[in-house]
Amino acid sequence: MGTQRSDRFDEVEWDEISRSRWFEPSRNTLGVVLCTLPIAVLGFYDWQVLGERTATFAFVGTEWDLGGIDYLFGFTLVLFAFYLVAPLYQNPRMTRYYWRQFKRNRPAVVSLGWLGVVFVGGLFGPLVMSAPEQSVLTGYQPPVFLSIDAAYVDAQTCVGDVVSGRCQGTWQHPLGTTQGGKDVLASIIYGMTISMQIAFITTTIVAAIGVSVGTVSAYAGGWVDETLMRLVDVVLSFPTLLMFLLILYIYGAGLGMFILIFSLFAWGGTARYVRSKSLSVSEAEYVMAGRLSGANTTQVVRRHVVPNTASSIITQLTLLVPGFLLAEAQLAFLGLGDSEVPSWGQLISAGQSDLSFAPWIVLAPGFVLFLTILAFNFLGDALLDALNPEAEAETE
Amino acid sequence: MSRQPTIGSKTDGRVSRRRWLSALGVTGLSALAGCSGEEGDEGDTDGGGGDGGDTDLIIGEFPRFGVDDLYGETVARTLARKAFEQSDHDYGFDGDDMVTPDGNQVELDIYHSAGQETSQLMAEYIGQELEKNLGIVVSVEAIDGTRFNNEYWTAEPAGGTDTVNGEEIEWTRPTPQNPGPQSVASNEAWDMSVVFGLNTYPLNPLTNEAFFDGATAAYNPVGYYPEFDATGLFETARQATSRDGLREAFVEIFENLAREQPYIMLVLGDDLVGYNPELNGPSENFSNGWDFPAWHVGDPTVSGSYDTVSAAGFSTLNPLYNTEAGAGTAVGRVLDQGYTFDDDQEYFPLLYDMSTENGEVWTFDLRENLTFSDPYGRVTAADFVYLVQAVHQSDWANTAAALSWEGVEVERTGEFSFQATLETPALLWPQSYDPLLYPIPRALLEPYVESEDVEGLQQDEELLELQFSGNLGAFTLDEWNRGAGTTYTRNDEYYLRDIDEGPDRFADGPFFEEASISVVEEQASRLGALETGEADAAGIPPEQFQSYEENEDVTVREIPTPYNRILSVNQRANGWQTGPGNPFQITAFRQALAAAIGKKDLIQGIYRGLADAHFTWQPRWSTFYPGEE
Amino acid sequence: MGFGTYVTARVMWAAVVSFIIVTITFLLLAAAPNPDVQRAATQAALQGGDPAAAAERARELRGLNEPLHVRYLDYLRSVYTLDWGWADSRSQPVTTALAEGLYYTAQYSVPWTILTILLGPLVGVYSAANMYSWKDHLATGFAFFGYAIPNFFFGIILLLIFGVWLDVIPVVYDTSVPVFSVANAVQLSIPVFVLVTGSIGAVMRVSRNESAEFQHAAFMKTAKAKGVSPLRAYAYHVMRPTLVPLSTTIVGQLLALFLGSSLLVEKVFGIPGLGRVTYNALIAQDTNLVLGATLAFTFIAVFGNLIEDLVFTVLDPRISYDDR
Repeated sequence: MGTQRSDRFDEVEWDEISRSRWFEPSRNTLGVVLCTLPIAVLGFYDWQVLGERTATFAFVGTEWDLGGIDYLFGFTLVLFAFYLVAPLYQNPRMTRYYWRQFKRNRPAVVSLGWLGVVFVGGLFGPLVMSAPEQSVLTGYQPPVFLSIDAAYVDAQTCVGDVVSGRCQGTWQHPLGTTQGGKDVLASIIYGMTISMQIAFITTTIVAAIGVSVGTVSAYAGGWVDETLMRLVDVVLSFPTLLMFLLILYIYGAGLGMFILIFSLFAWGGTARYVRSKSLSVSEAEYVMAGRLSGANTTQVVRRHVVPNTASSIITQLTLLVPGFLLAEAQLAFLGLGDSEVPSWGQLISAGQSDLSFAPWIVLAPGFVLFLTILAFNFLGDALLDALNPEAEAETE
Repeated sequence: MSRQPTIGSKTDGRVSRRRWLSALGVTGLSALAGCSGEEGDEGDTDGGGGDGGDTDLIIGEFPRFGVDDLYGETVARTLARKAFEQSDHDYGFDGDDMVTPDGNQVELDIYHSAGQETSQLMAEYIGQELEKNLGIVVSVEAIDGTRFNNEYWTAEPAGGTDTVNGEEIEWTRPTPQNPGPQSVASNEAWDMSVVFGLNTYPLNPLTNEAFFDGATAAYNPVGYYPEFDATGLFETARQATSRDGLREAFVEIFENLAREQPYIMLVLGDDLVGYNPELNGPSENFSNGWDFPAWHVGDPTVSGSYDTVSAAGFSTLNPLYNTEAGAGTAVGRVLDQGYTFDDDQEYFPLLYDMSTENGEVWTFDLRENLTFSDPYGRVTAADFVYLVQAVHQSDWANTAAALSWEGVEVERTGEFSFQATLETPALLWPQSYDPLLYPIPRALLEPYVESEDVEGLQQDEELLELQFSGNLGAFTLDEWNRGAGTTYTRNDEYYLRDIDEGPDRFADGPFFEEASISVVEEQASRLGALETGEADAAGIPPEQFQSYEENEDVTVREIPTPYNRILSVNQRANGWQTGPGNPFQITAFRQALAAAIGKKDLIQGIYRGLADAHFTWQPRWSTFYPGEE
Repeated sequence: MGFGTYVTARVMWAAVVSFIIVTITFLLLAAAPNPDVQRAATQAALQGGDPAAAAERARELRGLNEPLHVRYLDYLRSVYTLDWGWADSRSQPVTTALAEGLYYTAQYSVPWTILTILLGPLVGVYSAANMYSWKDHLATGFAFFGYAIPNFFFGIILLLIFGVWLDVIPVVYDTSVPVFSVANAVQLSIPVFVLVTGSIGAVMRVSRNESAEFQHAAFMKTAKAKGVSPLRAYAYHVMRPTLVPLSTTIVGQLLALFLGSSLLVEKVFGIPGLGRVTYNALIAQDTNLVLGATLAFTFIAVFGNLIEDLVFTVLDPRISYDDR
């Protein structure tokens, strides 16, 4: 295959992940800057001008209030749009080629579809449907086509009909309701937003730090390598969950703190992995050749080290995202999560004591969480195959 | 992390008598409760009622806020307007919304206990009701109970003076729970909270002095100033020489509390407990478990094991320092306390009988067949007198019962009798649980007393493992596994077998070879253990009450508790963060809040009808409950 | 630099790492108000004492009046002499509490770790050898299932099925059964199963992807051409190089899972191990025990990373000690 194309794509890939400063600004980087500005301005306006309790969009008359996490999320979305989606659009030929490779892996296509649903649901769901409201008199409504014993939901509180001592589900609550009468479907859709925020923000932070530290360390060598790797040792030895618990214990912590702590202590593995990969790559002959022909360090890293470690990075990241989603769900399950955030974990934890008679409260979000994590894994697997031309060449 | 009641023994009020709160940490008590069917709110506001007329709303002698005609938007807004008239600041309504003098929407925070389903549901329900009926926007926030207690509920005691009802009052003994006048803020600002419920002390309401005896009461985290003569009425109650006089004084106090709503009172519930259906003994009574040695499965023969579950582990079994109800049960299996109350709430002597002429001088008569384990020998009056004088009344030991013995003069009058003289007479002294004592050998305490070693006393092996219990309890402790619970073996020497009083069955009790309390933190697992028979008793959440009632493997009981569910509103300087002033300080505004929160839907929706509406600081079954007939 | 020197240097580095983390915990704690002091004041007030004096006494008792560096040195001394204080929420020394917890945690962690380390790479390499066959898909599917299903969610459901509905395992964990007994094996079977399905997926995935690269390597073709039996070829030429990058992930993975899983699995199955000791200490605001648990897990993590590094060096002869 032509090195030209491959380089082009992988360079873009690297851009998107690392957004390191020592690149001359490309068109996409300009786009990022242009799109980030209004977000920053809005954020500043929200922070400085508006009162703490005033909704961000009060001036256009909506109740939609933004928090710090929403701004960060918006920023990562811009990054992904310009460094992942835009390059794919700009290189239609390569895109088609990768799509053909990718399409052969059917579970991955399904996964991509599912993640698309979660992404769109998370992005637009809260705009088109109202947040799940508590309504204590309609608790434990069963999902449509299912029923629950009248000992739990009597004729008075059943939204549907009571048939032979069992309350029947209705389309009004397709996935039933919780103890407090919150609609499970609406809660799941609102949970998608949270999951997407966790996924996007954490991977961005982890990838940025991990890849920079890993390549710099491998390539610079010497005392820089030594220092960075010792730093990685510390980060890796850090029992992150425990540190988070300690901070929670001393100061209290919400979703923002969760994302920050977990991504700040999760890049150790990525950095190490990238370093060991690039070490072996940088000893390869073509890199030597490149050096001899006058390429400077930056160019070598950019043209050879990064493209050749991309597959490992993606494996690492796909393994990390579900880890974060799981960690959030676990904390919520333990009752240590941010209970103001309507995440899937919160829903599971709210329904755990009702599992024996109202299993949908746990099963529905549990299943969605399971599917999402599964989809991330399938997707990562397929990307690995599609982006690994070496393995591809061998099998053909 | 839901808090389950501790089950099946003479416990609640006894060990936990110094516990004001019902939801502190995991060791707190049941949040899940329910009571006496669905009548809840049939009582009309007999003392005047008020017809909901827009301007001339009449609050009766004993108003029942939150039900019938004292519930709803009209009443709530009328009361709120009345409050605004009394306020120095120009609050009002703009359409449906309550607005500040600047015209901003009134927005308040409400905290609930993190991880507690009931608490969260309640907070959100209150938020909805206040938005609907008073136009207040409420944001619901979760907080850990212990953190709330340390940072929001308490403050550095500052003291100070303030004018209360036209009188200059000085806070001479500020406490973290009442750090000073309303101008003294709590450590962290908060508006409203449902984190804690409080004890209503139905057997001896005099203990409620701690909450309501004037603005300087020992326990007043919200900064409430009574507008009625609380101090005077409590004084009258304390000096009453007959139960009628006592009742009269208390009824007046509770009518006033119903009107002033120092805390917005919401519901009172029972503990819902499921038992092994073959178990004879459990009753739906405040004293449930007092006759535990007579409980048996099937025939009254000694057999099997009595196994219960507890939602939380015990932090200590040292009887001198334990303040948890759960651990109290665990200690109670091995060590009886002085007395208990029977099914009719009458005094029942265990280790000692108490008698008095006028409520001032009380005589304690010990049973003569009590012994400690070797080498401590017989239990004598000297042991109790030493315990009180050298430990409880010392300035270094800080035992759980220290406050109970403050100002009480104790004197040995014979080998098996001693006398206590109170500063002021108290006819209901036993009911306050103050004179309850655990038997502790004098010889065990002496070394610590000599060196004033409080840590040594707290960490003493023999006290922690209850190795001195002799014949003083129904069982002996085999092992306390910190994470897993306690196991016991029957005590064949149990002194209660030889007493004259009580049920005949005591002569052969207890009817179990063994006993155990397992720490099982998951509610689902506790219920599973109950169903499979691994446990003989476990608490049940209200939403599953009906299905267990229909379940043949489980017998359900509703056991009254003294703890209430309240909405606390911060009447201190940092209590109303949405605008100037603090309307929470105005009685009419608190009444408006009480009238805005519908108790009927609350009970139906969250408590499944298994709770009682709470109008004043007593449960309905208390003899001191006002009104009714 | 010889191997011996390298090991010594690495061990010393581990000590430095532990020291850094210990310092960070100290700073975190020092920056926050001590709940014990507040509690002492509250208690004194409830019992009629003087809360201000009680708070002062509590501060003095805990040495909080000393200057920061004195407290820090004092703290370091007690940390490294294992003088970790008294756990108020359990009425026993912190070290005893942790040891008791570890006793129960080890009972399921040891079989869990062994099974993961044995089965993970095996299934991974097997899967790679049969890449894109139905066997690969089955193994991959299983790995993905195990990895994707949240441990606690899986645990609750299995407990509901086997404990409550089928009644084949006890719902309440029994601490009184001997460690090596059928009853213990039965009650630990489901937790271990849940944990192994959870951790095996990641290990298997990495080893599958890594070994996929090696099995097409030239040396593999050479070995095959020379007539080396497939089993031997895989063991020597695929398994071993696979283990190198794998070892960098496996220890990290296991350690990360260790705390999280011990917390959750112990909570779901009611095992009174280290995770639950930690969790309850947090809930009960028992500072000594929270600190002790933090330190215990820190030391375990530092030690695990030390082992990982040593294994890494031993396994991959290409990497000389000088590189590290």
